[in-house]
Amino acid sequence: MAATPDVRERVRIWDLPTRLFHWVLVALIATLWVSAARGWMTVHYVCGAAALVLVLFRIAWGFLGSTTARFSDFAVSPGRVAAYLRALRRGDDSPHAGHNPAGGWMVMTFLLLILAQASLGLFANDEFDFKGPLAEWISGKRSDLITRVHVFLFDVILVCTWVHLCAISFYALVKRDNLVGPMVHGTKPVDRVPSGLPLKFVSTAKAGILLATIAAAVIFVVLKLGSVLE
Amino acid sequence: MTFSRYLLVVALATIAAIGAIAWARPSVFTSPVVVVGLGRHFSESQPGSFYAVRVAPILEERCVGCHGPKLQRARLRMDSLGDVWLGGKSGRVVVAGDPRASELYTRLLLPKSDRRAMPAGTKPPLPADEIRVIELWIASGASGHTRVEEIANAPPPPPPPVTIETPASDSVAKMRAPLEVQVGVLGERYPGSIAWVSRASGDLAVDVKRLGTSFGDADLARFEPLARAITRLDLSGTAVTDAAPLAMFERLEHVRLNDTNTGDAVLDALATLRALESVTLIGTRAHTEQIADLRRKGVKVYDARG
Amino acid sequence: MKRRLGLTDTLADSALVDIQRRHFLRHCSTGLGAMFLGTMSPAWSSGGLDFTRDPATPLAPLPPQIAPRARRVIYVHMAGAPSNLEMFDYKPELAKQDGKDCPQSFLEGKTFAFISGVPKMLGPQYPFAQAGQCGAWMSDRVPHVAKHVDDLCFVRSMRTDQFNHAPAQLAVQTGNARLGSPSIGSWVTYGLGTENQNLPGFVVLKSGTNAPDAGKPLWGSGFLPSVYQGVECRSAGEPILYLRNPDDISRGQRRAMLDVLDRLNQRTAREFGDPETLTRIAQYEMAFRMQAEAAQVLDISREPASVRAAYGAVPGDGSFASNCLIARRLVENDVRFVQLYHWGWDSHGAAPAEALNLGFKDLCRDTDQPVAALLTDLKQRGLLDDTLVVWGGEFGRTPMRENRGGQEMRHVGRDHNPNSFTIWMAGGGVKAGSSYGETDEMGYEVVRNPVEVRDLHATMLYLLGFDHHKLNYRFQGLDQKLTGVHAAKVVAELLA
Repeated sequence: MAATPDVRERVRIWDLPTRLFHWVLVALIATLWVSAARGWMTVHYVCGAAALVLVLFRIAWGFLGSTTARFSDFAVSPGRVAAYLRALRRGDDSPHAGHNPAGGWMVMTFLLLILAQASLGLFANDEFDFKGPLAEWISGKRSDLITRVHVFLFDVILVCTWVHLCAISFYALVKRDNLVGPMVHGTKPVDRVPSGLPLKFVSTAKAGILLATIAAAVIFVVLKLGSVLE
Repeated sequence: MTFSRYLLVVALATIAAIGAIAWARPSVFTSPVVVVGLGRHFSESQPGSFYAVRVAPILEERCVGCHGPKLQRARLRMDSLGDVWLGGKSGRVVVAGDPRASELYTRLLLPKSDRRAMPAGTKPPLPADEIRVIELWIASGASGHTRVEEIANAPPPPPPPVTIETPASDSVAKMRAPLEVQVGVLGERYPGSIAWVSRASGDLAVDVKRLGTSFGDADLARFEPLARAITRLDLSGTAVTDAAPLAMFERLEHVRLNDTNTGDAVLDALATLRALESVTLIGTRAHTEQIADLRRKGVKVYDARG
Repeated sequence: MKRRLGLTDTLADSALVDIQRRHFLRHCSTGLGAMFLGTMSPAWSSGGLDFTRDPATPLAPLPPQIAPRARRVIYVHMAGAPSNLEMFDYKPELAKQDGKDCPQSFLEGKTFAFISGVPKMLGPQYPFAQAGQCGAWMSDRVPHVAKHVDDLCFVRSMRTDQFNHAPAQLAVQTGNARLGSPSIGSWVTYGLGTENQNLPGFVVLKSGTNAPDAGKPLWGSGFLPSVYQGVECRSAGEPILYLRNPDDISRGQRRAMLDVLDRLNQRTAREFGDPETLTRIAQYEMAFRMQAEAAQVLDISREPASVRAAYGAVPGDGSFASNCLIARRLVENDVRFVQLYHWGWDSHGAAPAEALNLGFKDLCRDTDQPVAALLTDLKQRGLLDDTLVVWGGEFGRTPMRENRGGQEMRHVGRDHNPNSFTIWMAGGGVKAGSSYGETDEMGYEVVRNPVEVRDLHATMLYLLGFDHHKLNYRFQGLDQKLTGVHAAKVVAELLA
């Protein structure tokens, strides 16, 4: 019997900016974790600023980017999420291109957490000789309080990451729907995707311009505001 | 895989992860306990223990400012034994019996240029005595039960801070009340000669140097009503003689008789005074043997003959 | 555009101009007396104890707060900062490092008066030997004081934050490196008065080529009434300037003049309520009494020749030795606080007089014997028991050899070292034959039991019978004290 090559037709789902964002953020968070634990504050500061830029970019991209990247695609009411989870439990959920409702909320949670974390980090200190660029704006006591929230919030991010990994492994093990691959190369097999989707893709070049603008704005604000108080 | 099987896998994986963290980095779980202030329930220290008497005051003075109820730098508290044992975000700071492995000790020895040195910032490093106390404590097991006496060769504790207790003004007034009248009378007759030894005291110091030779034995006798309160007496340059009624000053501690026409007889009178500490006899006729007698009693005698 | 004033305006204007402050005070009859008392009493009886006295006798003796161990103080201040590494602190490790480059750790973060670049270490220039029963190491420059080592209480861990002479001297003598604070002697005479109203309560005797760098403020009364300032007495020429009557004025005439002046001043005091007026009156009166007694006390030719030889004092030579003998005479006559200054100890090595191997020898020779003789004398007379003697400078000297401008200098010297210096105390309730505090093996920084200048002051006041918190004077809304606003402790280990 001739082997049927598994050449199911694949459909493009995720654009490059979204995919790059995801994995670069993963790398950044890992680096931020290690650098905070080891006291490599300059690395932590730079990566934190990069994370801030990335998250702001992703939020902007959520309004300006490709269909699957937009909030309008996956930001749904809690009712819809509950209905989806019930359907998942029953096993009669329909395939999604892009984030499913639960995943969509996961994405928004993460974006919010990392945005909060990076913003708080601007004001935090390392209880030693390092201060965030905007720490001088506030009293030492407030900075210490913000530092404690910043540290606590990281534990929350870790827990959410664990939940995220559990969810991905659920889809892989139980639903047999590999989600990691698509996030790497951007395509899904055609039978995993609902038919008849008009997916629009925005060019990577536009993403590049958006990213550069946001990076410049953040760098300007942080360095300028920070240095005013030197 | 079925959903329930999957849940089992997730549950096991989560437990394994938590177990791994607890094993590799126990401080993840202990430091929130410490920060909240529950650490003190985890260990006890006895009141007479070496920790309570010698170590805790050092930690209180040098460490608790940044590692205590107000602030928990590195998620470490040092205001109770339990907290010290639980450690901070980097884990344990004390290894029982091994000071060299205990961060609590090793960080005290680092030079100021090392950013891990403790106390951090501009605070001065601990004095050698205090470091030694901590070293001895850790070496003996860092417990809250080892008694002070059980640890040998500890550096002596610092003396208690000097505090000045002054009695309430009405108790001083009560002490002085029986003497006030006579102090007034004699003070008028011999101006500037009588003073209270201190604001808190009922003792008197009498100094009649300024009156010179107009002051004699009879004048001294007039001080009889105050005699038991007088602890200092300066009769230098006056006209007192061997007949001076010195024996009545039972509580006299210091007496000066420079340049008076006195000799050995006055020393006999002084020998009866049990509170006497010093006598100055420059320019009198007292002889060395009598002076030596007085010195043997423990009284300091100054006669300027070296 | 200037408006032309009409007649009414001009009259109103000139009425305002003609009424001055003194008229207000004169006509403001309600409460003038109270205002006067108001200026005096809160200051004198603030926060701590009450030091109110009859303004006519501002130096009247007051009992101390608790039983005192010392009743008088002789403070011997060696202006210029003597090198304890050549006198009292033996550092054999430093001797081994002589001539080697100074380690970087000694130079990091420090400011020096003259050292720059990398200086060389300088070992002790004189041999040391142990002395007395307590076995303290003393150099061969202080053989006479060495005989008294069992009476001395060394504090080897003194610290200051000033590295220049004038502010450092002010810090040691007034508790504040800035001008305007009263000196220790002023505080002591304010708190205790003096027993002998015919002599000043606080006397200052200077010797050496120059006056101490900070000048008169070192014995100034600061914000305390000026009657508490130190009175300079001289052992050469007129003992006290401006004391003697002019040749054609008799004492009786002087008395009559003072009586009239007194009545004028009393009137002024009633009118204007300035407390300084009354203390000024008291000072005139004191000067009058001093005319008789001071000349006698300050005249050392009245001492037997043997005593003068023991000090090395020659009447009228203005030397440190003469000043020491005068100090003993003053203290015998119940002067409360005697301060001696000897200038010249600033051994930078920039000139022969400043060289550790040249000028320093002269300084030691000039001061060692008289100070030892003073201690002997006080001891023999039974005065050492209740007289506190303090000897010290304003900071220490570096274990590094000074290299002004980065060059090796012709003469040997050391730069200023505020990180540690050594003083000693004797008598008055201190622990004889003891040593407190330690510096590192190079003699640079304190490693054990640091003593700040305010701690020394707190201890001195405690020996005199005061809690330093309670010896107060209200000024500028604060209950001022000698020990200042930072925490100061009485050093219990120095007490007998």
